[in-house]
Amino acid sequence: MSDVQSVAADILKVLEPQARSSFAGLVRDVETHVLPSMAMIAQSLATVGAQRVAGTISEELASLEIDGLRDAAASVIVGFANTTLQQVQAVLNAVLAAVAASVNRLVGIALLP
Amino acid sequence: MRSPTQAPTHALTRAPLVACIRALAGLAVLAAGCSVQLVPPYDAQIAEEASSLQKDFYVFVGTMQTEAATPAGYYGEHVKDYVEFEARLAALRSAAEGQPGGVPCPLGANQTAGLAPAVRQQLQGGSATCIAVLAQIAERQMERLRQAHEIACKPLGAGSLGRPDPQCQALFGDPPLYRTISGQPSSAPLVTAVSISLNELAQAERSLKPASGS
Repeated sequence: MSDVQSVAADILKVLEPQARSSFAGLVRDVETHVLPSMAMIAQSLATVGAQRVAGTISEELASLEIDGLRDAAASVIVGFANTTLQQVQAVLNAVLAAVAASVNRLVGIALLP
Repeated sequence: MRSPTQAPTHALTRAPLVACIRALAGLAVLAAGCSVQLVPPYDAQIAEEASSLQKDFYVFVGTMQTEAATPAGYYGEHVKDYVEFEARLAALRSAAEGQPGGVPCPLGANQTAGLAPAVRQQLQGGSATCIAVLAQIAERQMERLRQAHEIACKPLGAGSLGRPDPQCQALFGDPPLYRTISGQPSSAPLVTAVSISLNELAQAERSLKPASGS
């Protein structure tokens, strides 16, 4: 059993630095895309308020606009989740590919293709 | 140094480790060989249709910005535009929901607390991928714009000499188009909202396209 733990520790030594470097910068999309989109939504919400105060739109129309902006925010969040999943997928596959040879050597069989 | 014909020294004691690693690999829901698939594979038809819809929507909004102050902008003149947009979005959603592969969009209660109840319901405990959820939202956004168009773009009552409701201009905003769909300040909040949702859908599918040569 101690042998298993030792091999696992060795594998972790291979995995950890690879994972650390691969995951660095994973959430860069927040600054470049999510926050600017949220700023646009915030601006648009302010416009709805101004239109309502000025009486240029009805309450019914304002309600549709606000619901639309909430769904727009949802789209940005879901889009970010999709990007993150995609990046995680790429990183996981890169990590698996990068450490395959080392893991196979440590395990003693060709476990990872 | 062991020769290639010798059995691995630790073959028996390593069996649990092998099982363990295999189980870990199995955590990726759609593990294929030793790669994992968390998002659906790129679908060129979905990507092209999402981009095409986005472009057609921009043309529609640009046209409406010039027509909103005239009878040509009345809802009755544009019913067929919404029928077409909504039919295309329904087909797109159906295609996105039918894509193989990918895991449910991973947003929990914390990330969805401020979102509309319909979206929260889709995301929490739902099985739809993020692309499918984006398509559902885009479809709902278009229906919302249709309703707003119907409310805002009609002739005013008696005594108005057939003038259009000024709400129609407030709904679609003033040219130039780029300020409405991507710039700040936006003079047409709902159009900006629909534009953001269509853009997220198109961008999400485009981003799945494998880099050329890979």
